Amino acid sequence: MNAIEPDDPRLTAYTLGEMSDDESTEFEALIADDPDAQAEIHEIRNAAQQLTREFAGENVPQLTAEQRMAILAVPYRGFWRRHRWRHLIAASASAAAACAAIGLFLPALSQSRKEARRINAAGNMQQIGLNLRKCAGNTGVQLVEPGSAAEEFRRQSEPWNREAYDRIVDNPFVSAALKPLSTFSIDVDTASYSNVRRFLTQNQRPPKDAVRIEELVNYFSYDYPQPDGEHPFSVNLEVAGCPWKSNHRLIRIGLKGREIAAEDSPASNLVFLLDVSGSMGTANKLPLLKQAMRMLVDRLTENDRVAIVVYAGASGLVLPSTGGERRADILAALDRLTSGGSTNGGAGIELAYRTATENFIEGGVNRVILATDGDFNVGTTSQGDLTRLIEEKAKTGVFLTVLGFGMGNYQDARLESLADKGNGNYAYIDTIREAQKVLVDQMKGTLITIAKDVKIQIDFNPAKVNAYRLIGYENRILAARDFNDDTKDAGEIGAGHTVTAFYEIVPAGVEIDLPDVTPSKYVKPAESATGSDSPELLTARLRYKAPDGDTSKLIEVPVTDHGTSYAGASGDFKFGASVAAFGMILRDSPHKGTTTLDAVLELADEGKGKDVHGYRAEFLQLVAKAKQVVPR
Amino acid sequence: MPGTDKPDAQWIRQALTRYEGPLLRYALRIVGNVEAARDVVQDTFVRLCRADQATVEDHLAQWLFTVCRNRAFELLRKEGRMNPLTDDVAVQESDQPDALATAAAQDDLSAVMQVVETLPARQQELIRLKFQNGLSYKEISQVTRLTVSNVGYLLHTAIRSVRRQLEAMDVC
Repeated sequence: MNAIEPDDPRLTAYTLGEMSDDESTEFEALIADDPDAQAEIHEIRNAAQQLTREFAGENVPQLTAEQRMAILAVPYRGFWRRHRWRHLIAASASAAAACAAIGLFLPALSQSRKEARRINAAGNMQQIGLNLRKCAGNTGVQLVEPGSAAEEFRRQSEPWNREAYDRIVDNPFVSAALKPLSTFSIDVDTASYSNVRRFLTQNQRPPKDAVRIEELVNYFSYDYPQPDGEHPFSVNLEVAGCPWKSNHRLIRIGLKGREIAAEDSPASNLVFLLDVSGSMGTANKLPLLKQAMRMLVDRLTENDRVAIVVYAGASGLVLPSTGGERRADILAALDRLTSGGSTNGGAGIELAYRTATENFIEGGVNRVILATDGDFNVGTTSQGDLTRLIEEKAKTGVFLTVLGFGMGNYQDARLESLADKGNGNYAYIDTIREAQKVLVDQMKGTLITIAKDVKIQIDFNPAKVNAYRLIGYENRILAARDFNDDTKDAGEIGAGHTVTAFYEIVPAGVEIDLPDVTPSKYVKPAESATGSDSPELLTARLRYKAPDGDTSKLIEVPVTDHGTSYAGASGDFKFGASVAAFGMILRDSPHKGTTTLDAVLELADEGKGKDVHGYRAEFLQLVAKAKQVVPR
Repeated sequence: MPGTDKPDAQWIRQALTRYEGPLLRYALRIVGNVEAARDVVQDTFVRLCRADQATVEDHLAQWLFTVCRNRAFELLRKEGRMNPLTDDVAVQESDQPDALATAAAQDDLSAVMQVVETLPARQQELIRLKFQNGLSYKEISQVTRLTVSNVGYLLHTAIRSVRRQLEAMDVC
């Protein structure tokens, strides 16, 4: 009866889909009445799945950064044919020529020895130089062309270690008559501030692109009133003189999320997804993370659940979802963690979201907290796949918090984008104090989302405003049409969180050089483009959704400028403006005007206020520190 | 024209992103240490840069694994370490810290791994190409220069022994 013996390789070929359609049909007919063969196929399928799972979790080694760079520096064939005559340096050329190639490749190397020495501490400049020289010898030709893979790679991997930042270009001034609507998504991330602090305390100037002004400003909370109406946050606008440009005005938009009292806190279902790969072993990473988590665990109650998923070469559930009252079990699981192996973030993220979904608390806080240095190994998961995975998971109602750790291979841009896609927030933890801020002092803001997809649109009145400029938020700019489009994702605001944004305004009647646009030959500027006779300076519109909602609600707030001088501004306004100015100086922004670090210090000191947690005092120290690091 | 090379640069980068890890894992099993595996994989990608995109594109994975395998065995031959075509090649451990030891929940998973380690090297190689890298029988046959039916037979045998050994462990 049994036509198929267990050692028939067709069983495996069939199970693994290695047969043609015809073969499969034929084989299916053969096994239709053969329960043994069917059982065998079932077993093979199980084994195949087990093997796939097992292998997916295996250590993923990496090339060194230098090797990757050397590969991307090789001219490829199609390119070679087209560019034969350009920028070629033969391998047989003298050492000087080889150096020239390296100089071309990394222009800044020859520019500044001092810079190089500084970089050497973080990355490994000389090593790269040596490898490039070796590569020039090996490949026969060293060719560098702007726009080539090597050039792009160089640009992306500045400053020559594996820290990665996306390029930011400061928002320019925009004519209110030509473009009266300015739209952006809120951002409550604070990572850039702690990262900047890390650089400065190590006597290094942070790379320009590591400075995101909105994250600096939003690192601090401001004393805006609690919302009292139907909306979950209050909207507070203030207009005063611009401290760095006397004839400009500065507008501050401040949001304050509703505070939630401890007894009203929803139950939380937290899944920690911890990177325990080898690179997390240093004191400022895993040990700091464990310390931070202990602080958080101390705050949990029996209504809360915690699970821990680790990922390294393999990912696994170290602690299944456990009630907050079983503190000892949670802490014991934490204590057992050690680092080792390389990273495969993808499988870990899958497992973490699955654990969160299985323990989903309706109406509660459901959140995956990813702690990593972001050095995801690319082995099985490309950046695109990972982003798509997170985007997909965000729809399940599980939110994401990303905690960045460490330095050297810190992947800032990648982590920020993961948090964005995952309906989440992103903080950079460099000290235990920072962990205390994010996970204890502001735990509710970090964990409890009170509104999502919060968008701001400012409608400027050209009769009052010549031009405007949004300070920071460069990677949060939305198209005007996205404002009313509820399918467009935007930032979240947490319980008690404040969100602050500044616009610098050139009032009507004050000249500014804007890029000249030739007016259309055919369309006469509409009458309304010169502005209405409304006394209002602008109208701020906000849209948001409830955390579990799909339709947005609208808030509109008109604002009139009463001519308050900068001296008459509130303390919070002054402090926020000083932080923005600090960011502009660090970014060497073309709009920084006459600002100096001394002026920042003065302004920040005036606006320091009560400063309960001492964060503002720390800012003053940081500015003082910057005075030693940043050249005038 | 400047800029026309963009798709190529992109292509190399994407290939690197997608296959760097898988090739390193594969090469590591053959050459036995990370440094040598890195050299092999770097060399593989350097060759990809010089290859004709149009002719490689539609079977990139197969191409990369083939080149990587050849480079790895070439390295072994040069170092006189072993005859690559025997089945009893000792597969050396990775010199990286074992991640499995770090996660307490991994015990049952590592059992599978232990069993895999006991298979003849050739079967291990096929199992990895199939279940770690998702290559088809046909692709595996091209990479390893075995016939398709031989690949099918060896994989079937390998899976059977994995199952048998796991069952035996369960009984204990």
